[in-house]
Amino acid sequence: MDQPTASPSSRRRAKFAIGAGTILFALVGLIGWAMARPGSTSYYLTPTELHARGPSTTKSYRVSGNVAPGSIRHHGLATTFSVTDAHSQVRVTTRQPLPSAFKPGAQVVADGTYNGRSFSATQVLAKCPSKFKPKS
Amino acid sequence: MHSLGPLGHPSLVVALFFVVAAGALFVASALTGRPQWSDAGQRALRVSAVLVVLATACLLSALFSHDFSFEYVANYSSRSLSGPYTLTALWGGMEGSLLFWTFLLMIYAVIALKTAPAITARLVAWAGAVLSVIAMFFLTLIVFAADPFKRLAPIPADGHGLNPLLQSPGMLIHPPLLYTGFVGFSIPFAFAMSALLSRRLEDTWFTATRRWTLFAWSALSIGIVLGGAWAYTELGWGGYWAWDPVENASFLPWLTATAFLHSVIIQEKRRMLKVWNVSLILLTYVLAVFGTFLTRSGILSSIHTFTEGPIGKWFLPFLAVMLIGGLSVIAIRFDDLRSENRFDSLLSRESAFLANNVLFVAAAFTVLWGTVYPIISEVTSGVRLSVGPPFFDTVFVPIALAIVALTGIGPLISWRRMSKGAFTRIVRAPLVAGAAVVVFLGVQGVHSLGALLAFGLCAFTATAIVSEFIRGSHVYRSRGTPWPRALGQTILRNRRRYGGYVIHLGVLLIVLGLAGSAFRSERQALLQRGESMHVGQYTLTYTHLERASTAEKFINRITITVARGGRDIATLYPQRNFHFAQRQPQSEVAIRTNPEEDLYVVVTSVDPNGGVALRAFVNPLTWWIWLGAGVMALGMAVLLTGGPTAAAPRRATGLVREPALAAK
Repeated sequence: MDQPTASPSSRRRAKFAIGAGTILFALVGLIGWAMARPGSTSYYLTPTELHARGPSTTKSYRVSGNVAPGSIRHHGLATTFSVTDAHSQVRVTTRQPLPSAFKPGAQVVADGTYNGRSFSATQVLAKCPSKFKPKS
Repeated sequence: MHSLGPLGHPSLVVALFFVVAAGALFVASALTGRPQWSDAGQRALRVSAVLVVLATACLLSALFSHDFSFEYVANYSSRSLSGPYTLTALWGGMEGSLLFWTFLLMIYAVIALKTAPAITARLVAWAGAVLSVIAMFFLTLIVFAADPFKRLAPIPADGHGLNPLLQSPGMLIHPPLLYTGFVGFSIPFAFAMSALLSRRLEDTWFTATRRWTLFAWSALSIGIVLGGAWAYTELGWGGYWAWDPVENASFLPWLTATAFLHSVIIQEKRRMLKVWNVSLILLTYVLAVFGTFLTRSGILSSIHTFTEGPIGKWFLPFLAVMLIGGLSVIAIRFDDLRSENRFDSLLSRESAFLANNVLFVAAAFTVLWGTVYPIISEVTSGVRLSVGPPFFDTVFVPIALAIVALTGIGPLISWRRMSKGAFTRIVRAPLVAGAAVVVFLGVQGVHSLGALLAFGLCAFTATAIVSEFIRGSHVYRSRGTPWPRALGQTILRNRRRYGGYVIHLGVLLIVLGLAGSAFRSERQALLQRGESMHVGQYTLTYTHLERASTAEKFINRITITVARGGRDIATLYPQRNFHFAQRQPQSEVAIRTNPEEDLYVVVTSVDPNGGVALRAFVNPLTWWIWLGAGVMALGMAVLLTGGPTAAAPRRATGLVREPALAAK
């Protein structure tokens, strides 16, 4: 009744291997293709590392550091501010709304592109403020 | 100021002692076959559970009596924090959430071992041993590395308070549901490992824990949707899912657990895929622990990371032990896990289930890849990278659409084999429905390939499921039972089958809502009082600004009149508030929701002259996501209330042609 079918096990194994291989190949291909698409991955840099890497028209960057106190300027919907890592800083411009925790000194992450002079951010995120961490 | 807090730490130390004793007794019982030692182990575990519950009560007591001599209480609560949110402070920080995790684990372990069927005595001993080891790990972690009862001196007058983002009704239930899900998978995992160790590899391990698996999966599913709902209503960026590592951490075990729920059906009906099933539950459990590790260790620079604690170095060895230990046990018992049957045909229910599993595991792998790639990259090449939503959308959407298609086809195919003719007959109506939807939307001007495919496949699968309900209720209707009753009887008579279909329908509604996001639009504007902006078909006019102050915050309440086609249709009141304790502003979103589309308005800043910066979104079909989650919850209730024997009659029919076909 419930006997295995007559097909020899080597043929079955070959079929299984081909099937598994095809699936794996498709999966790796899909991941590779997705990783190569613009915007999929971006370098996560400090302002110092950003300066060292220099401008890029194709690659998107993610720059993290602290908002330099006194650097925030509003022009209509646009905001510019400096992100600093104590060694160097970069000027960031964005038209996107800023997160709640954004303020002078806050730790922020800006996603966008860098033209060598300023960083144009499509999104600015703020780390949860240090207030919620134990003060030592 | 006086609380039960000082009792907390000693209780945990004693609880750890009892859990070690329980583990030793369980192992001794499993090795010698003496059930009385296993009973003693259960008693020791119960004592330990009582002590953990006591410790949790102590932490709650300290939180509610504002005993700021405890660092945790001072860090995550304050005097002005309202009652329900003082409760959320229990899981608002790392130490408390680990205690809460252990609290759930102990309760589940005690109940699961106590209620395990009598025939599984040996299984219980090993399962008890595995659960004791897990509890030992978490208790050790809490006692030595993440103590929520750490003292603070000098004692501050007030605490730092809870992050205002977490002060939301969603946060009252979202984390407990996720934890219920994560921790719940410990039970089927422990019984699977136990089945391997005790060589009792028949169905008992997963039938005995089926309800736990379903319960954990249901809690995790609803928890994930609630997390999305929280993000949508609180975070103010107009979306509900950002492929953030912390979101992925909850999604990964969900994907493998969903695969597991489906593949155990093949083992139950056809005695196949045994290695695959134990591997899937192992993977699910490891991913659940990995999720806790990701969210709690601060290894990923995620905006969700509450604190960067010292627990990473504890979690990695534990994960390694679980994974390597689990795989070794599977390898040792490999010969006992042989399939008793084989795949007869490519066109069979078994193959459809297998394809479903391949897709779910592939989805889990791609999400895992994107989540851990930044870590791998940093460790191997020193380059810090981040992987963004475009990657996840690209890999996930095609896999998800394939799953949707399979959701429709799978249940229609009979076990073992099906003729091509019968298959063509059965997919004809769904195909016509899907094609009709694609053509209709194409004519209407929808040209996004992804959206067309999504809507078309939803129609295809919905038609297939509805036709299953019609076939199922045919018997009752032919006896003259009216429609609604016939449908109800159909569902209640075979809860496993139709509960599953109800869940599938819920998933389809969610997919519909997700596909709607392809058509969202967004506008920003700076407005003075009396000025208007446009988004979609709406005109938003800023009419009033009210300012008020409470003990916790300063409130800016903005009045927006919404007009469409020259007629006022609604008034929205978004807020931009300033929280004193946290010294930060916080936007309260205003949403006008209906099945067609959501109008979502956020005030992103208010200047001293009363000018506001507004950001408005039109999110088509988002409403259906929440409805879909509700339908899923209904289906879960149907499944969970059905007995484990509900499917017994189907076992007999499993090998003949499906009733669905016989009816043709």
